[in-house]
Amino acid sequence: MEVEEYCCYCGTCSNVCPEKAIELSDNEKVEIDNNACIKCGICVKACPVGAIYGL
Amino acid sequence: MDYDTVIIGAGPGGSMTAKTAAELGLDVLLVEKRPEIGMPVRCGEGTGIKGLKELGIPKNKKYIAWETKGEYIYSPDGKRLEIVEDEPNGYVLERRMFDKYLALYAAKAGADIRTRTYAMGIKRENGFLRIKLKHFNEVYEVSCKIVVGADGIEGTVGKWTGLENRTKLSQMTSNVQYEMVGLKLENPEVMEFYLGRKIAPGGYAWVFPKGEDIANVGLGIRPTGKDTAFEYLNRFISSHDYLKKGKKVGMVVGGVPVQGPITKSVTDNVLLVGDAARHVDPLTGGGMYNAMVCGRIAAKVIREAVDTQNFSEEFLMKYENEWREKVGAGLMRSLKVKEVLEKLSDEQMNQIGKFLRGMKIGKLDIKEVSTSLLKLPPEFIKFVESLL
Ligand SMILES: Cc1cc2nc3c(=O)[nH]c(=O)nc-3n(C[C@H](O)[C@H](O)[C@H](O)COP(=O)(O)OP(=O)(O)OC[C@H]3O[C@@H](n4cnc5c(N)ncnc54)[C@H](O)[C@@H]3O)c2cc1C
Ligand code: SF4
Ligand code: SF4
Repeated sequence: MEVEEYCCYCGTCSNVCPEKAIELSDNEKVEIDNNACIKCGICVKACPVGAIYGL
Repeated sequence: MDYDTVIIGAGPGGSMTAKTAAELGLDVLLVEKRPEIGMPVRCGEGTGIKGLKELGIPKNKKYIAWETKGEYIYSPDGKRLEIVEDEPNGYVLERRMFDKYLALYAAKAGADIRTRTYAMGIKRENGFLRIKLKHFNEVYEVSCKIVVGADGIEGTVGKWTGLENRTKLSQMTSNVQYEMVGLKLENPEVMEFYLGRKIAPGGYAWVFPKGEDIANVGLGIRPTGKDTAFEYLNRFISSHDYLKKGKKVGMVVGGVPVQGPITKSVTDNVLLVGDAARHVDPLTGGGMYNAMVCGRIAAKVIREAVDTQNFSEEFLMKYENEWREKVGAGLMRSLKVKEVLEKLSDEQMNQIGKFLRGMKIGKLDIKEVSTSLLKLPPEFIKFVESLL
């Protein structure tokens, strides 16, 4: 999964990921552990601005 | 031991915990990953006057943008229920300043504060904790007796310590808001709420005034369909003449977990507070007051734990029991009402609106914006249930 630059660092995606594969880094960038990701698409739906893609 | 307690996250929950703990004489460290506390804002900024008073938060013009006297609640047919009092009962805050001042009050009370300091992990050692922190390129550890995860929806303290606080997609609202200026507000003294599946499925749109012609215009949805909250909000604004002509001067994006509180908020040496424990009201999405109230309870229990040198889950359950006693019933009631509301069609919502308008509840004693919907008479719930 990838994140668009226009991400607003709100953390919504990290809270809903069932695999706990998303964290906000120290400089508030969204970091997705693609090894843990199961491509369920939940983060894509949850993002208020549609900033996650890669399904 | 470096600190009695390290609090992770300087939102309203964390700062209130830090302030109270410092006032009780504890050695406190409050860490915040952001360079500037309060920024970026993730809030509609509406709250009740009564709640802030109860918490002993001074009425300071630095962070109170505006006062409101009640609400207009629009059903999908555009007709509204007016719940307005004679005296102001709500504030619309300037959250960036509010959060900063709360941290400032905590510092004044004696808490240490480190911003641009990111919590990276927690290790257990001989019944205590070592918290790994990162400040710019420097990574170091501090030791403490108790850690408080007040780290919001992106929080990782729960994940590190085995406290489950992730939210189901169907129970998360996805929100976008603009701060707008140049609006022709019909009544700048009321907060407006718009309900309807076409407007905001599983949530609502809001207009919270911050001045004669300034307001937070936002919207939250349950994001199970195709369109994003952003798309819904833009449609909402363009379908209202008084909003369409306004200028957008700021934008807020965020999630509100409306699943109800987490099932377990404590484990050995660890407490979760605020959004990290899903203390936010599942019906209104208001979370500031609950985060602060629970933070205050957390600090008192930490004081007792330090006094008795007992940091076990069993002892810290006192915190969980006390917050449930204080806000638990309200949260569960909100959850119930929310579950009923989300089943309603637009037509059913229109009928409820009509029913309530007929009841003339305009003069009810509704003091707390965040709980006002819950103070509706029991007949309301019965009526709603009869529709289903
Ligand atoms: C769009 C929107 C509108 C809202 N409107 C309202 C409203 O009108 N009224 C209301 O009462 N509530 C509202 N809420 C809810 C309210 O904003 C939250 O409930 C409230 O901020 C919760 O406070 P908190 O202290 O628990 O968490 P937060 O305010 O989220 O604070 C958590 C802090 O922890 C920090 N943090 C996280 N991880 C780390 C780490 N690893 N290291 C260091 N720091 C970390 C974060 O940077 C953040 O500053 C709204 C929410 C949204 C998204
Ligand atoms: S697709 Fe699913 S598993 Fe992968 S990051 Fe998104 S929410 Fe997590
Ligand atoms: S939900 Fe979207 S905007 Fe928010 S942090 Fe995740 S990718 Fe960024």
